Amino acid sequence: MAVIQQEQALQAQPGERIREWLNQFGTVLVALVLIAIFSLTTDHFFTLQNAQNILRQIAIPAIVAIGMTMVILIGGIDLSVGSVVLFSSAAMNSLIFNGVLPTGPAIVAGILAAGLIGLINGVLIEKVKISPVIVTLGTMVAVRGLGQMILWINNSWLWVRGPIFSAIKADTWLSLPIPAVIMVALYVVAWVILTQTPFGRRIYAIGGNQRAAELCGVNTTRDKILVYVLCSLGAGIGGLLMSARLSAISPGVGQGLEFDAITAVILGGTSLAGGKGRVEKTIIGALIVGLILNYMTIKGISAHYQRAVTGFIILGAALLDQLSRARSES
Amino acid sequence: MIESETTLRRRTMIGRFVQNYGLGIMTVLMIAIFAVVNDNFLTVSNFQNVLEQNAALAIVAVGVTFGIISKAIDLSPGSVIALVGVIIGLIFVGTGSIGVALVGGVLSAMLIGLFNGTLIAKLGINPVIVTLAAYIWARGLALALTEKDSIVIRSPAVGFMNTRFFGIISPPMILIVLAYLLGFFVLYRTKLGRYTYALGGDEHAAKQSGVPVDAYKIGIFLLSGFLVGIAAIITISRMGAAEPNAVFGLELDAIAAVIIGGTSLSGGEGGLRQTIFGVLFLAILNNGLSTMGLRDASFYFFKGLVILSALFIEVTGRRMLREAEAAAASAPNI
Amino acid sequence: MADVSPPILEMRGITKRFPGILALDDVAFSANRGEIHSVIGQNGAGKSTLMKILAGDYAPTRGEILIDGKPVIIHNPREARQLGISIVYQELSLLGNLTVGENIFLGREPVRTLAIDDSHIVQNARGVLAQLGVDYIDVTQRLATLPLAQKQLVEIAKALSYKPRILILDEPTAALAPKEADNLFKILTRLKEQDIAIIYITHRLKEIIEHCDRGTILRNGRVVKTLNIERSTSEDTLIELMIGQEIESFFRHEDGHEQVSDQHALLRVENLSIGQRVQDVTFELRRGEVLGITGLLGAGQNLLARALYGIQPHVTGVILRDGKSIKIDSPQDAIMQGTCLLTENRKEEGLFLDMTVKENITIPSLRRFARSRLLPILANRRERNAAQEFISNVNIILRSPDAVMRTLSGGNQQKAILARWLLRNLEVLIFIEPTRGIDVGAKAEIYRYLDKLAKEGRGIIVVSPDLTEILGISDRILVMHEGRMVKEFSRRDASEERLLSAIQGATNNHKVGENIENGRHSAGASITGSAG
Repeated sequence: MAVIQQEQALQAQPGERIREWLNQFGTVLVALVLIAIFSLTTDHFFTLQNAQNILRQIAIPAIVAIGMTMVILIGGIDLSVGSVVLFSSAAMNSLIFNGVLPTGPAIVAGILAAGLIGLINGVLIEKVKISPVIVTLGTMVAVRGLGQMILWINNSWLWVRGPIFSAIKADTWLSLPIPAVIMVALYVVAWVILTQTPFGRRIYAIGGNQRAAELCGVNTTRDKILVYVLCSLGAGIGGLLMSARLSAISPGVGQGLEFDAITAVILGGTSLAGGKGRVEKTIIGALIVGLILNYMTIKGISAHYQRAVTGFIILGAALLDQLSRARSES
Repeated sequence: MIESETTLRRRTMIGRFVQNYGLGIMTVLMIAIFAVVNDNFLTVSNFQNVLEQNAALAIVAVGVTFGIISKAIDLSPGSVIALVGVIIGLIFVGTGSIGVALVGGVLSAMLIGLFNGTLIAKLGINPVIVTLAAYIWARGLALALTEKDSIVIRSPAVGFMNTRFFGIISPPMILIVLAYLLGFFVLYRTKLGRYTYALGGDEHAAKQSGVPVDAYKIGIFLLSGFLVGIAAIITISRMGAAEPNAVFGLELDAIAAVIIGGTSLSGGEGGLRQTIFGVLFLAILNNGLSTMGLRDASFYFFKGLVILSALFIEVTGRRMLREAEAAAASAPNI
Repeated sequence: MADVSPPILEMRGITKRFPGILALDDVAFSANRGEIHSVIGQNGAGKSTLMKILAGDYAPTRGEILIDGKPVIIHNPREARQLGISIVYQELSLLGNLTVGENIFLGREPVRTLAIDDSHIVQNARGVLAQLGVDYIDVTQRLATLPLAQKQLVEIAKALSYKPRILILDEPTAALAPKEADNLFKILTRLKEQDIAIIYITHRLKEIIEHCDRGTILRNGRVVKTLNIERSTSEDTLIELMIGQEIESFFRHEDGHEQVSDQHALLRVENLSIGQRVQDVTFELRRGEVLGITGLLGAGQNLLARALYGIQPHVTGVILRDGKSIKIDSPQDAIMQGTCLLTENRKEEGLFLDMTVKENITIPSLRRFARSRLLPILANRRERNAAQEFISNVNIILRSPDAVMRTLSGGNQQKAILARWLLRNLEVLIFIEPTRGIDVGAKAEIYRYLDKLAKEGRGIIVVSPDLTEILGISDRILVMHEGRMVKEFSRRDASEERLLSAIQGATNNHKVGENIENGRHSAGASITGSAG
């Protein structure tokens, strides 16, 4: 074909730069604005005590959201994390309660058991090739049942005992509650994995264009299974923190947690289609949800309306994501 | 990748066998096991129980079938039933008229369907997100509006729904039949049904042929909403009250039923014939496990296990068949 | 013979510009009632673009269209259909999960009291198929169960059911066997008698001469000539018009490369078959050579390339690397054996559009950039420098390697994929249509680079339907026809005319393989003994 002119590299216009910046820091901006508004409209919001409360509240969903971010990045989803939290906390406390293992090893065992669920998820999704929604819906039900069976063996409730748990619950480090410290530490680790390791790079590649990744020699099956394992391991750690937070494990523990995690991920700007998203924005997403729920609690709004609001937050985030994508592709 | 002819032929045979008989065999096996464990299982009254306890599931599954064929999965039915139940309860308490309440309920169910459908069709948001959000907010609203209490509905209509005419047939059963008749008619004889398959087959090609894709996507959600409304009516009449925690997890059952029955998640194929078998399978499973005395924990565990196994068998069989057929199409001599 | 009344279609001064590319330049085209008018030209000459404008998929940058003497503006495919223009594209737009009848009337189903009138559909569909003369196709059969040839006939039936005055067919016989193609032409003749104007795009010159009344030859977006076609028109005439006297001279100037004379060929393929699509292919790739493989669409060369990379199922045969038999069942196997593949679909199979250029380039090579064997952390500076080095090597002009891939032009994107595999440093490079959708400047650069790679002693396979390209860069050329390798040319013997004939299937009883078997022997292996 005849060519009339050589193509120019796309120049960045001022409007585009602002949009880039918004993409990167938009979520942080929203969080700051919310903090400002809430602090100004209510007395008890902007206190150290409340800040610590918020951090304690968001720690578990935020940690579970790390694994969820990775799973969504590769284009999948994991609806079983809430049940895995129940399962792993029931497992570790049962082991402790019945004197099978001392606290430390019991915790590790509980977390590893969680990882096993992730392995099952991964294999069913990648090797047997059943859709992630179906598989994790199934494990969500089955694993909750498993966790409840463990509780049932122990007379329906499990008391949480152990110095590790009480320490996590009560202690702070530099004014930060321990759960929050653990949360931040895990986010740092996740950030390193996703941005500084070959594995992390491969995750983005698989999510961005799985076919192209395969053609580049990436073992997509193995990597995707590993992601599901990591996600469940995260839920296992969530089980540890859940034990620390509650004085007893009951059958309803962890219910709905998967949706809190998904909300945080979507609010953080990660696309459900995969390949796009940053884990550091997920924690801001979790923070935003935490801020809104905390505010509603202070204002005395019923917990159920809070739940309903969460649903609408997901919609709002998805809408914004859709609009920004439409604009950038035009 | 070198494959021999015999392997291909064997896979085709296995795949076809599983597709046609897999579900039937599993169901029979299940019935056998339950019958052995529980004397009361194979009785007429238990069979009526099976139908009535799972009437909501059966009706919701019709709408879910449409959704899955058209590649728009719906995760909200359970929560919407709870919410609609609450709405019916509130309207009834407020107006005293059960008729107005029921109509209002069905209309709100359709309204929610319209809402979800519009977000998906016109705004292009992923159906999983939209219906997931509805799953959350509908349940939340149901609980919030009732502060977790149930709304008792004292109306002769409730009694009516629970009577058995001639000792055998009850209104819910009739509603199931009507729902499926409606479903069959729409799916196989109307444009809505035809375009449901078209959307699932190749939305782009359908659009090119002039199919108004957006309108029909919304239409599917409206139909689904209507059926969910009917299911809500059945649910509250069984309990005599609007329970905000009702039918938790119904959507999973419905989706599992549709897929185990043989409609593929990848869209464009399957149908209500398959769904009937899937629903029967799940209904028998539900009933069998609970008559065995299993509750809560073990109930869910074994149920989850059986469902996963059934899914595994169904999906693998289909995959084997598809791969074998594709191989046959390009292989030398077959 | 065509009608003498005024043309039903006239296109005047049609110009179409895309970013960086002038696809059509002042094209004039007309079609008469009852004639079959062929649009002829090489890949990229502008045939599809012209037809897409007529069908309402594109709007012309300049120019006008007249139907029946009246000027019209076609905004979308629906308006085109209303004007009586129906097009049958190469890629089928039918739904496999619906029946033949349902497909034909998709979007236009007749309704009677809320329900679709299926009997009406069946009746009408049968009517349309009868009009085509293919009433052996069962309208109640699911489309997916039909063989490809019949699917195409259904596609044509669908186009006909809109009662068009102008019917456009884009490469309808590309995937058809000769008997099926004959059948199609019987049908087209019948349509001619119904006064329909048929516009026909194909690469098969024999078909054009045998069945078409007129032909318009396009080259580089311009009309070369419109002429009447008789039985006596020769293929050579058409070929000359298609080529013109210019052969782009930005390929290599030397006579080719010195082949490093080895014991074993770098890659040797024996008796490779892929289902029914490729039969019994045997050939070699030597160090330091650029091997071109070409043929008509569907002749099997693309499948062959994919088989060498492990991404094609149902492959039987032997692959030898440096004389040793190897198994390639996945891209990982291939890469381990030192082979890489650049496909023709860079968007679907090559690019990570939302990742940076640097990240796109280093994906297959990440292991090299780990800080230490124990610590799987990437050494950012080393990675960046390596990426930058190859970005400069292939001459991608970027402000920074952190630019997002989506923002690059097609040419630069292709060069980035090339850089990716160069960084990986493999011996065998297979390219499928390496310059597809790329402007001339980038094309020239890629050719120069291929040349350089060959000089370094690597083995390069280029699969492309673009004969000018194949001629310009290859040391040897293999021609495939209907799944078999039918001819081999050395750089000296090859010419565009000869290639054009060969891809059409002109046989000389001179099978490929003889060249190889006569000249070389692999140690230990008995070629004649093991040949299928």
